Amino acid sequence: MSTVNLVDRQPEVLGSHTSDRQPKSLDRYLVVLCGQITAGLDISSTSLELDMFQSERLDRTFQLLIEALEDFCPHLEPISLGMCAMKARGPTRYFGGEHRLCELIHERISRLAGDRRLCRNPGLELKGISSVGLGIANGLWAARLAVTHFRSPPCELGRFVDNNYRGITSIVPFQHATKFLMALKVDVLEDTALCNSLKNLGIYRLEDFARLSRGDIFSRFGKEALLAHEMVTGLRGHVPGTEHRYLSKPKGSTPSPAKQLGFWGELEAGRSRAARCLEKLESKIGPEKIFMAALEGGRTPRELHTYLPWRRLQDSSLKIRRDSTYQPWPGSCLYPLPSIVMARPVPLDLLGPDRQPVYVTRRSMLSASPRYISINRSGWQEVLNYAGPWTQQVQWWSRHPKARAFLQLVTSGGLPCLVVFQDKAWFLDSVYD
Amino acid sequence: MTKPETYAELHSHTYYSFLDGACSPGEMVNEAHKLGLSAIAITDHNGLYGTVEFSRAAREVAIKTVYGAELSLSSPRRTGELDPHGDHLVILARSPQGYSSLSRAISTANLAGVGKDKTVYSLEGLASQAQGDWAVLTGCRKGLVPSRLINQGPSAGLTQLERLVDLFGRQNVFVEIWHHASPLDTYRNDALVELAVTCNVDIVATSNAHYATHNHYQLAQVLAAIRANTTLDNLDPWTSSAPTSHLKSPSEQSRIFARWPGVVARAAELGDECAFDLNLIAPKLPRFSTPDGSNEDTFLKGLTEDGATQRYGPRHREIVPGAWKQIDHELEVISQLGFSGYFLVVWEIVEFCKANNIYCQGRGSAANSAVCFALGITRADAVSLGLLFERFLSVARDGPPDIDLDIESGRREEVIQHVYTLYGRDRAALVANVVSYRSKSAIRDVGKVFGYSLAQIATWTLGVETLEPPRDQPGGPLIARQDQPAKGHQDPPEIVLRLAHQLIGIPRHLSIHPGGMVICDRPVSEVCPIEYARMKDRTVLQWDKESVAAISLVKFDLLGLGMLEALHRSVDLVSHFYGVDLDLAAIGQEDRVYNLLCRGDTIGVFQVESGAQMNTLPRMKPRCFYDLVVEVALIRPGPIQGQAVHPYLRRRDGLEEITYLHPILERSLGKTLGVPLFQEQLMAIAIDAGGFSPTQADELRAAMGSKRSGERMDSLKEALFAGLERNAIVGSAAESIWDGLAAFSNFGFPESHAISFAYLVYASAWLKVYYPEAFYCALLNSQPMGFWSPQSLVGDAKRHGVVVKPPRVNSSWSLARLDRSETGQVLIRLGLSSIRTISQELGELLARHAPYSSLHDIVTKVRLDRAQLDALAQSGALEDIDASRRKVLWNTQAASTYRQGQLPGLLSLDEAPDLGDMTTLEQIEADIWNLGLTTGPGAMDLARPYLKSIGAISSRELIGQPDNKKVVVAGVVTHRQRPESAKGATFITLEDEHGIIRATCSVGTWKRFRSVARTSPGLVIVGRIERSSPLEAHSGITKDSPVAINVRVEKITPLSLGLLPDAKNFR
Repeated sequence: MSTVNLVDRQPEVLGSHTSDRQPKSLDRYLVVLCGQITAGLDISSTSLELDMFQSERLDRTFQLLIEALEDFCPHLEPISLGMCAMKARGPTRYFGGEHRLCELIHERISRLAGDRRLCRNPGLELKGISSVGLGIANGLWAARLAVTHFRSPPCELGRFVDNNYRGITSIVPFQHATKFLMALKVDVLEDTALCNSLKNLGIYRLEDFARLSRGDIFSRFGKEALLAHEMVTGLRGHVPGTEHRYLSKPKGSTPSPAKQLGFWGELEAGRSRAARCLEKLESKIGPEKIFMAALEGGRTPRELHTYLPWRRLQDSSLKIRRDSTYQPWPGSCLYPLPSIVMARPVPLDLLGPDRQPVYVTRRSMLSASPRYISINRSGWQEVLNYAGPWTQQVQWWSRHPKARAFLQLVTSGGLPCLVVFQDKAWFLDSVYD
Repeated sequence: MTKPETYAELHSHTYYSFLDGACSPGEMVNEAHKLGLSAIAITDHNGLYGTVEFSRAAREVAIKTVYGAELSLSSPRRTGELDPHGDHLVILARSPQGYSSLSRAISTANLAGVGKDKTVYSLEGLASQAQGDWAVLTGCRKGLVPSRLINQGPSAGLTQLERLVDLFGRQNVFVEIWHHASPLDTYRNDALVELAVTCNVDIVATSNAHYATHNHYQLAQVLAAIRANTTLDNLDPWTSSAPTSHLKSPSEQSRIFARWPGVVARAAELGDECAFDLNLIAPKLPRFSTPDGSNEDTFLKGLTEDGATQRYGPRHREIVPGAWKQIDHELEVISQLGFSGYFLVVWEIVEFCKANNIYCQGRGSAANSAVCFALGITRADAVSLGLLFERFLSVARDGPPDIDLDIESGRREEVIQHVYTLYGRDRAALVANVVSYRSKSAIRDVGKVFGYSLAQIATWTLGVETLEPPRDQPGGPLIARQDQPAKGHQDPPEIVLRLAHQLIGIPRHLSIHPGGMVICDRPVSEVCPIEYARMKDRTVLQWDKESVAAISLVKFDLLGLGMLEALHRSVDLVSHFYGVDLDLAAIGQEDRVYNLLCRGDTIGVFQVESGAQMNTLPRMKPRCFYDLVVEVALIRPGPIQGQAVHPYLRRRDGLEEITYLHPILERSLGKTLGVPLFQEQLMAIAIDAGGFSPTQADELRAAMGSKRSGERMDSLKEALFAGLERNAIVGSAAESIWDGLAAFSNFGFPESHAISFAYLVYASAWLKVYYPEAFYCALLNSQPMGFWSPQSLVGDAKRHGVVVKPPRVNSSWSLARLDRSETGQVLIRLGLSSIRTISQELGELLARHAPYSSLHDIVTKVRLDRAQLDALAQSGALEDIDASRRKVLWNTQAASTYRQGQLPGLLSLDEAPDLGDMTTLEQIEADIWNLGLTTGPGAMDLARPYLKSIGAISSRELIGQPDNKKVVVAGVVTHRQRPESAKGATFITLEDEHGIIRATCSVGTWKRFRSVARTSPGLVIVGRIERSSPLEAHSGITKDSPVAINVRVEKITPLSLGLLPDAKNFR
């Protein structure tokens, strides 16, 4: 589809009735929309109202869905969270007709919805794909409308109901493409300002909108409206650039970040060799399975680093390196930081001068000065000096609240270390080397 | 830990640090007392907001108080920033003089930078005001010294410390060290101590407390996130991670600061040095500048006597018997109490209003005295009306008198600015109003900082009641859930709910009290700091009215009243259009006016236009001025709940015998037929039956009203019973008088207020009768005000034969105006500023350049944007130019691109494609969307054929229906109300093309039809007629027959009418 540069071109007056013109025959598209089918009336997209936890989970669910749909068509176009599209022609021929294709897709998704993998966190995941609408029409835009407005008359409606799955199929027959669009309200243009202007002028349905001349549209409403007009009159399948590429998964057409050229036009030899190796490895074990260490913001030595998928770290445009590294983080452990961080915190016992266990009170005070320490029940050492306690009660609003207090210790038999009091017990967190 | 330590906290914040402190002054003081501190200082940011609460709370637990503040030397703006910038300095007052100079210093800096958050403190400026009365702490991590130390190194810190020493004196500067269990603390404290030693400055330990106990930590973090306007997640890298900014005990501090010996003890010593019991001496009223040779008393006497001679006749030929005696008595009391100045201040404001043609009227306690009548402050003649002077001013009364001035709302600002100019911004200030969290706002803000979407939060607040017990009450605040949560309601997560509970009652920000103004003889800024409010040119105290009252600052209430504005506009319209100069004070009492009131035909009339008032008027049948006074006081929550309404109306109708508990009460209750209605009657009963002096009676009223100490009440009761006994009222009769007084003290409305209001009732009703065009026109220009929407006012005007025409660009002014049609008929032409997006100024500009011949003509004369052109076109205002609204609308886009100075002819406005004309319904919708009303036939006119077909009758036909008949009615909902006095019943007011229909919906019926009744803008109601007077009693029912008709709802269905104006729901 060629893009018309409208700025340079004078709007042409094509006669008041565009239906006189034969629209190009647009590709048939199939759109998949995960959502909640409310009261059988409408499908509301799941991406509208999600809190921060939900969207993260749906992201994962949606990825699984896309993987499953690749059985039907290798080139899926993700549109937004919960919505993707494919060109319908090939799969239709292969699977024996549009209705049959939709039925098979529903079957596949319903199996996925019953998949154990998704049931680990019951509820949210299933909600995402427990009701799915499929729509086929001429052009991507019309196919999207076919899903959301499946009750409009020329749509051929089909239902697929399973234990935990409800699917709807809505197909606009090829010959009814215009009839379907013309009956819809101008609200489907999803441009509030334009819709209000149109309605104020008494233009309520796409039919009325289509009747206006291109010249009138351009001079009164501008370029954007002309694009919308072209969609409505079947001259255009959808407006290019308005669909958001959602998935972070690199696609065939995206240049691989690993192949970015260096300043002199060449990748530095070592880096490029490493990159090639990793790329090969990734192709074997799957995407996002290779991790690299990276700096992160935080208050403790443990929090200050993290592992991120290698590919994401390469792609600076993804901005995975959080700015938080450079933020103040009041209450942080001071530099120099311990160089050895225990992979898992090691339990230890800490006693006071009276050989009673030492603990940290709710008011951030030590019950007694620490005097004796035994790491992992390995025998008692004397505490020669200590600093702290430094209390932290962080992330208490999240699902992983952390309440803890740190002590810096110098012991008779080893290196200075950082110990942490957490869940009423002491652990060795890290060691100064 | 050998000897018991003493410690005083010198740096702590309360919730008056606005989102940087989590506890009330009381909570801080109580915790300090519990921990055994010897003294506590409150050092809120940039103010002394909590002074009164703090000193009162401290007095209760007998802990020593230190007053101070933490000032932000630059950029005092603290909201919306992750980590607000600005160097801090903690100042503690060493003495009452220190407190005064601190308060003055804060005020001076606030007033120097014009506008809220524009304060400018300079260190040198502060130092010049210290005069050795302040102790200065180096402060928290944002303090001048610590911040330079941390960010630029020890020498930079030292420079700043030396600067402080130079400015404030070595003995007044203290290096503050604090420890919040964070790794940096020890290093920083070591460095600070080194600076102090180098500089030979004393060191004190503090808690740098932002809350009372460690349990308030999470709340404090929520507040911090609200202040930064971000989520907890986003704030995490910027905020303290330790729950340690709480108050600490002497022994805790001794352990924490063991590394630096002596710093805890030094804090205790400094606390001792700075502690004093603050007895704020409220400034007095300003000395009124009187002409040479007179003092306030003689000047007031002269003015009063001049006025009295005019109004009551000369002393020896008085028109109103007893007037001069009353005047003399009042003047004597006023001068004895030293309140002559007070009356003169009010008089001066009233004179200012008169001189500037601003309508105003005194009201309330002291206003309705013979003196105020003589001075022209009020029009209520206290002597003729037999008002009790002691109700508002008696020798025993401790507080100042109270006169409220109602000022026409559009011009109140002029009066306020006049007061500022006359007395100075340091001596006159508006009273603040502390806006605190309530359950809905608490849930909303907590939800936001937890990162929930607004849509999600909306589902939580749906079912939440807005009432909750105050924070200090045992059990704490509760978020009450409605019995029946609304559809779509969800419960918030437990953690959100818990923090929202804690947030309730915490101040969010300061706003302005609706009218209270303090005027003083010396700078009030020495007692309470003054700051700029958000509103332009408004300066306010940092205290609310409770704090102001606690130290007896004299407050004047200058209130805005929409009806005064409407009356003024009416009089102006009548004068300009008809050439008749009205004096509303001199209009006569006329039957025609009372006929209108009797009919309940009172839309637009002051105070008696609500549904309940309109319903009562036909039963009340007012025939004289005093009836209006009663009517105003009768239909109020108090008398309705006190079951006074029906007995009064029945007695009036002669259906019930007029009786008194004792014959002696006839004197006081006679005018209200034995039913007590006014507060003044309570006092009169005590005087007549109980033999009380007026002063004693006033005490009784105050005691009963405030339900204060039982002891005082007991002695008053004893005295009253003794008095009753002298009048031979004993036993159960005496008891029932006492009970009656007690019950009635809760709801009695001051007669003095009712009288002032009644004048406005009569004046507005009079205008409605004689100059309806001017009256409605004025009401429309004074919006928003009153009970009815502009649409209802226009509907009522039409029903009274007044022609209302929509705004048109070639014949309208900015505001609605009176005009004549070609046939000479008077009509109201709505104003251009009633159109959406058209401001008053723009309306004036448009009117000035009229007439216009084309769209092109308009845009070349007046610059308009697209939205404004659209609104003009859509509303039909451009029909003068082109009859087709759509055709004009088509060209607004092109027209809006025209720029002034562009060569004429460049703008080509194309012919529009054929878009058809607007249907009538579309036109109505366009009118309502753009004007909020329609002047032509409304949606109800269009719906009438359909309504007829389903057997619905109109409001006009209702009047002839017999009692209990089943009817179908329909209309646009104008109000939904559920007054507390109605025991759960809901009143629905409908309007159709002919008038108003009132319907009552029982609890059960409401529940059944809730979803329709609550949301649908138009309703069809099936119900039964309830008449105030049975049809049979009247032979000929006419339009003028006073009868109130109500429909008892049985069934509700929605009526779809397209776009309609919004109803006023549950206000």
